Amino acid sequence: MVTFKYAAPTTLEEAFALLSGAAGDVAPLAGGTDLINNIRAGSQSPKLVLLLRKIRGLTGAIQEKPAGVVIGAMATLSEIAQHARLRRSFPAIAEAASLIGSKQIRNRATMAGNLCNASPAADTVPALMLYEASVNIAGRKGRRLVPVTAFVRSPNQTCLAAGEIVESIFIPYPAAPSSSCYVRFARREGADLAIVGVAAFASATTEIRLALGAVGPTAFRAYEAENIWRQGVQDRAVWERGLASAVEASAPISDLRASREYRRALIKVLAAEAVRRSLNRIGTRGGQW
Amino acid sequence: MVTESVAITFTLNGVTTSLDVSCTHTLAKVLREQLGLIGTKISCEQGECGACTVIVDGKAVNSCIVLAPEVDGCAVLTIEGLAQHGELDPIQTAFMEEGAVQCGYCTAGMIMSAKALLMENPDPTDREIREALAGNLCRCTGYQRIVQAITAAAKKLQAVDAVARKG
Amino acid sequence: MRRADVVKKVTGALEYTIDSHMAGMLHGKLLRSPLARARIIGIDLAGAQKMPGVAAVLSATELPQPVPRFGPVIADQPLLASEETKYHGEPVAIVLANDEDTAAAAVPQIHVEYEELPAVCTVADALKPGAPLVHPGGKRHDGKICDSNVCGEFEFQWGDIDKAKHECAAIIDEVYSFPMIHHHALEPLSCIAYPMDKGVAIKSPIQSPFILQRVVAACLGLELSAVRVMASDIGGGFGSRGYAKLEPLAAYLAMRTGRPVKISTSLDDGFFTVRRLAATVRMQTGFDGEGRIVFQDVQDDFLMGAYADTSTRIAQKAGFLGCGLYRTPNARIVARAIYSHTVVSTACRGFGMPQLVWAIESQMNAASRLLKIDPLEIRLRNLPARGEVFVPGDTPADGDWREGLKRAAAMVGWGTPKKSNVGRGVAVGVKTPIPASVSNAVAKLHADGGATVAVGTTEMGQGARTVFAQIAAEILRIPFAQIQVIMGDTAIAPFDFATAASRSTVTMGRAVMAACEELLSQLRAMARELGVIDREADAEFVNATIKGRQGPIAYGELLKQYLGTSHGEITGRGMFQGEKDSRHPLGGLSDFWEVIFTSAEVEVDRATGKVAVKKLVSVSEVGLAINPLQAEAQEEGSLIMGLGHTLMEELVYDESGKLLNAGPLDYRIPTAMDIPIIETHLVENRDGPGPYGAKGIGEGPVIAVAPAIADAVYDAVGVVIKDLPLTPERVWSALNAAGRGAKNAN
Repeated sequence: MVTFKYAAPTTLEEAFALLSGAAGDVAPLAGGTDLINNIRAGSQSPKLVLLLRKIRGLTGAIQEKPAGVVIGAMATLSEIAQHARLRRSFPAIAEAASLIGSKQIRNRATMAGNLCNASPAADTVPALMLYEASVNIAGRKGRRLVPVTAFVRSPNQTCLAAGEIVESIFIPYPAAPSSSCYVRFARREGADLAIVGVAAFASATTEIRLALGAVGPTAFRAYEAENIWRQGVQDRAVWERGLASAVEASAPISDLRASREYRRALIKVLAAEAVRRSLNRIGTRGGQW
Repeated sequence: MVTESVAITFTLNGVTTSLDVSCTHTLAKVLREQLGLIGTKISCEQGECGACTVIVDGKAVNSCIVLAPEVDGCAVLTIEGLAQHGELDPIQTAFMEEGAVQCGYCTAGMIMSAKALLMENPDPTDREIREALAGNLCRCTGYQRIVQAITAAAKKLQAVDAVARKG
Repeated sequence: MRRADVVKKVTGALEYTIDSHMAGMLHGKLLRSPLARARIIGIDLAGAQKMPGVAAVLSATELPQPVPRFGPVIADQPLLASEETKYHGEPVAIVLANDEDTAAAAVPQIHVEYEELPAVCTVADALKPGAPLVHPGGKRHDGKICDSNVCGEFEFQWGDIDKAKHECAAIIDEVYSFPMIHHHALEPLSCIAYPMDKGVAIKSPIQSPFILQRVVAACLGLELSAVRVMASDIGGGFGSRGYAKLEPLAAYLAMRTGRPVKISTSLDDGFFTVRRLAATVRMQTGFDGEGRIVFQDVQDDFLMGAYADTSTRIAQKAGFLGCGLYRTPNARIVARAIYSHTVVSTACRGFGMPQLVWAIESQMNAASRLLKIDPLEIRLRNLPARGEVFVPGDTPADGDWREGLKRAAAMVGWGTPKKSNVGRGVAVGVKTPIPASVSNAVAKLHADGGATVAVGTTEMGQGARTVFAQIAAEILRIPFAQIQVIMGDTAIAPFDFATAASRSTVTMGRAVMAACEELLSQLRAMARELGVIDREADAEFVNATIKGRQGPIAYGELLKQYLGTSHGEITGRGMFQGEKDSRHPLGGLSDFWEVIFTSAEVEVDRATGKVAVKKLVSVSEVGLAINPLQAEAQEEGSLIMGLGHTLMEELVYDESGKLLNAGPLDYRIPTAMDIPIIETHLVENRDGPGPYGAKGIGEGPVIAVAPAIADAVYDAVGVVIKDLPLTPERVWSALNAAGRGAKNAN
């Protein structure tokens, strides 16, 4: 293993002081499921690893506020997947969290970490985009709130500046009764990475939202598809046009895991499944569903 | 504040343990090499195979991707800590009786995943058992007997529990 | 019957080689080639050598010249890559240091300059005229010099194939391919070697200690008596631990440094160490109007790795069974083992048969479709009856195979109604043990009436230790708990050919029986001499006693009376050798046929191509299961290993010979969430040559899973796929090409 030093600050101020420095020299350690592997593989070589767990003020608490839920940076994927309020109000997010890796991974990995790692296939990102979640960033200069859509920039790149860490993630409650669903396709049923990930949202006011992961440099909302679907997804032609636009908006690659063509085909299959399930969850049945 | 050697204190199999560890060493390495507990196995060293599974604060984790200093203040349970007063844990016995052990290399990790599951969910469904094992690879058994063993152990533990509660 | 070693496994107390240490040990870590084929222009070891704690850094240049080479058939694999690397991941240098971390940190400090050269990684490329040769000037299997990439070529013929081709109602001509597969044992490969007074000792998870002894001795120019191999319990064998890998290098370094040397690797490294042979099989099969085979013309091209290992033996042995289990009046089989610039291929569960049975059974399925005969029925028509010879010159059929196949079909609900997109398939698999192989055993009866059995067999979780203890306990009438079994130490146990080929229960089992019987003979003789019994024929053994004229006498008491107090134990020897036949192409007849019938029910999702296996069944001819629990457990594991190469496993190389998916992240094996309902049934007709009528087991089910599932997929959605694995994308592509995709992709 590469040599690095270690610090376990107990306050945010201590953390900020230690985090300032050349990018890549200091690596914050939350769950460690990406970091330790990256250090071992050589894709990250920090000089200092900073444990976040002991910082007072950085918690894993999942707090229900009037406007929405605040998920602390240290909340693990297991905690998120099992949280009653999250499962009820933001099913896609809880589902996405429950599908990442294995139990052992989910017991350590944090959603904040999953976001910060910004893998194109990260499962929580499309689900968070669905709900227009935002990231509460803390740094020496203060705090700022950034929508998830702006937070994730490109593969493994976020908008975090040197000296900043994620403090929490805020997910606002949707205006109308709604539900959602996250589905993905992988090579096997057991622990795996998504070949295609689809998050869908359906509300009682017939709004449909769609976010796609693993089919572009970052996850994204298929806004154009959503616009088309405002005309009513019960109409087959409208549905197909929306789907086609979602596929057009994607930029899947061909790699070891799947070809571009297959991924494009899967988008359609999974989107249909995700939307159907979301509609079922809010008790709407209709036509082709 | 910034160090390479870290002094940690944690409970290991119920016993308070204080140790100086290198911050670059994983929990798996410290358990195996510093503490001589070779029951926790290493295989992939990247959190994919589960052979190194131990229980930290009641949760199953891959010890190969946990840095040793991270367990400061935590409770760690390894395979060596299961048997109590010379008596095997019902999960261990069930694995033997159901023929769920062949080469044995994945066994400790499997048992620890099972233990963590049953601690949290004493009456798991077949699907819940498989989900708990999804990160534990085995090449010898085909998994069926392992699932059977955990099912049997769960029943046994529930029966024991029922008796204890009555008394 | 509880397994003796299992308690240690469930408590984490069992020490595998990877867990072991010795005082004063040097840790070795390898530098591997990042390229498939490259000329090594220069190696700069200085950066690594000067790191504190590093004892030595070596490349081929620091070894004796010419560089020592090893291999069980052709000694072609150098201790470290010499002049040219031949596969991605080939060891190029090694660091020896006082601790593992230092050794690992020093490896990246070694700088190597390579000149990349074109590599061949497929059968087609390797056979192209003008293709780069993997071993120009090297030796082939038959001792001649390589003038192509064909390392071994074997031909088997019987009947009159050219005449037969004119006598068929239908001829099917197809090509099938089987991918490169990795064994994926969980215990990372490692070994420890240390110098002895004379020679070197090796501790390794090796399946065949005597083969390793021979190979290391030959490589290093030592006498056999100067090489001691001690096999540890193996954390997953499957053939991956059958033959020398790191041991010759470790042995050499131990002798050179005068210190114990441990070379250790990780799971990822295993992908750069061993794999199964891949195969491209062309079958031309002629059938009569009733679907009976008239002839088979078979071309088995096995793609081996860069060094021979045992690949040619596999091609030869499997090729011999290139027509499978069916009555084949006329046959020609040409089996070739072809070098490529890929990782070394070695023995793997099934020893070439999964690859060939994929073709043989797929061909039967093709015939079933063409001739419109039910897939079960067409096989029943072609399976020989018990006692029939189906491979001329070899052992006749030793089971009621039609019954077995029918049973497997019934267990998957053959012929019963099914939903749409659901299908069923059956397949027959076969394998033979090692012909004319030898096993020896030694049994000692101790002064207290307990016993120790010493065998060269190794324990890899198949339960051999327990089986031998059971056999000894039964023969000697001593409690199971009082039998000690010492395994895999060449200095203690007498010669055993190998722990492989499903042979141990039969051959070593018979040897153990013989050794125990000899102990009883000695006891009879002693008893008669002492006047305890009148005639040896009167001897009756019960509960560790011999029944004498004045009542039962405990074994220990008899020994004391005969040998004197504190003098004794007696030793019995036993040997079993399979029937030799110099006219037989493999040197001997098959001791038995390991036969498996596999059936599967699947459901296919037309929209995604995903194949969900609902049920997987295996019916195996085992003769008798000495330990039913262990036997069934083995069969289940073998089935799921087959499920892996059927649905998800494949080593992927690019054109330059780089392995793209080394490691569990991108080489996926089944997890607990991927398995169907498994049902196994052991057919026990006590018709095997082993103890109590046992046959060998342990490999079987992996052999026929793929064609059973592939035919079930055809039954479900009407697509035929001739290459593995049946990944969702591959099935989806086939469905689309056939216009059979989902009608509503929604």
